[in-house]
Amino acid sequence: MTATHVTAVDDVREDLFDPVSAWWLSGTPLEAEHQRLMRRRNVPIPWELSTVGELSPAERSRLAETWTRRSAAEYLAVSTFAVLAIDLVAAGAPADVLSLCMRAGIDEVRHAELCLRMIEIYGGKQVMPPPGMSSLPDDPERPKLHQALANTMLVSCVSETYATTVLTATRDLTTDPVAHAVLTSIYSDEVMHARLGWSYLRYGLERGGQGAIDAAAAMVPIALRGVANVVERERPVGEVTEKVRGHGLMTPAEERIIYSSCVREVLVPGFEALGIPCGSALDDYGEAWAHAA
Amino acid sequence: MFAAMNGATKTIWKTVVFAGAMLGTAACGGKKAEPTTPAATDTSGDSGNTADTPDTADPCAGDPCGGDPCADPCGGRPRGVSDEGDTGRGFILS
Repeated sequence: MTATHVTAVDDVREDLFDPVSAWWLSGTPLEAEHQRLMRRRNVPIPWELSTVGELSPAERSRLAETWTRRSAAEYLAVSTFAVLAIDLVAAGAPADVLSLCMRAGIDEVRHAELCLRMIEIYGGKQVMPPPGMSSLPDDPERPKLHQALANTMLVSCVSETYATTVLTATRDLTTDPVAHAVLTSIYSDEVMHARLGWSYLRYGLERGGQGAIDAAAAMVPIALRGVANVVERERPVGEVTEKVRGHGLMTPAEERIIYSSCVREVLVPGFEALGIPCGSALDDYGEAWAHAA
Repeated sequence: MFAAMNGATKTIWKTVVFAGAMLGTAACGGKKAEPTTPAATDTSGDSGNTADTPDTADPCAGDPCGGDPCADPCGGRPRGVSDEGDTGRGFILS
């Protein structure tokens, strides 16, 4: 390969991977290395193809508010994986589990950047995500393996697995090219974030024996309730019109059905396949809960 | 909607749960390579576990920090203010 060819390829890549939300960066020399980290798993987004111009002001406002909430959730998830990494190290987790957990935190930074760009598209504003810290449960009295397994179930097995399910369903109904590409980019990361949890759960249960299975069983209702709280939460004001749906939104009623299906067809079968009893989970998030909205 | 949902859960079951938890295999770590460093020969206090099933005892047992709170990896871990388990995770959809 000639030097000229290398330069040409590099030029193309630079063009493809411009900062997603440059205004959010620090203005320090760290920016260049940050860009190198971000582009390692970046999916080019066709920003110029947005169909935002076809939306009414009310529809744009609804979408801007949703992406604002998504940016806050993604930003906070950075600290979630950081805290989970602490629990995993305390439990002596192996290198691949740790590296994937740390990478998940980096992925969440990129997701937050994508969400901020979407806020700008729909709302015309540059909105900083609010500061915060993950509220992962902590019980200093229990064995570290049990602590790590419990929070892995909460963060990865339940939350991230549900995220992949809802993203799959949402993306299939999204027609706006930009929203579709952004959801695809996030989805491709969330699959690994979720798989990380199921792999570590299998690993930990094989080493922790009955005590670990009991600890995991105790965590099932807590983890399922944690995500249900998010699904049940009050939503931004504004109708989810057909056009809004095409930009990657569903109604709260539809989300309940997705979560119920995820519990019944994915989460409970997965836990039970690993020998973890799930108690009343199927009843708790069955038909009655799914259609309660 | 329901058609999309059915496809979504099937996809996630296969790509995330089945693949991640290796539900088609008897045990994880089956193809693990032989260690390239010598194993410890002192078996005093051996819990009976094999090399493939490491001791699961709490690594923080027995005060490994020598009483120095600044070096305690098992001390209070940073946490937010809520224990509801409902923030900072998942994807807020709409």
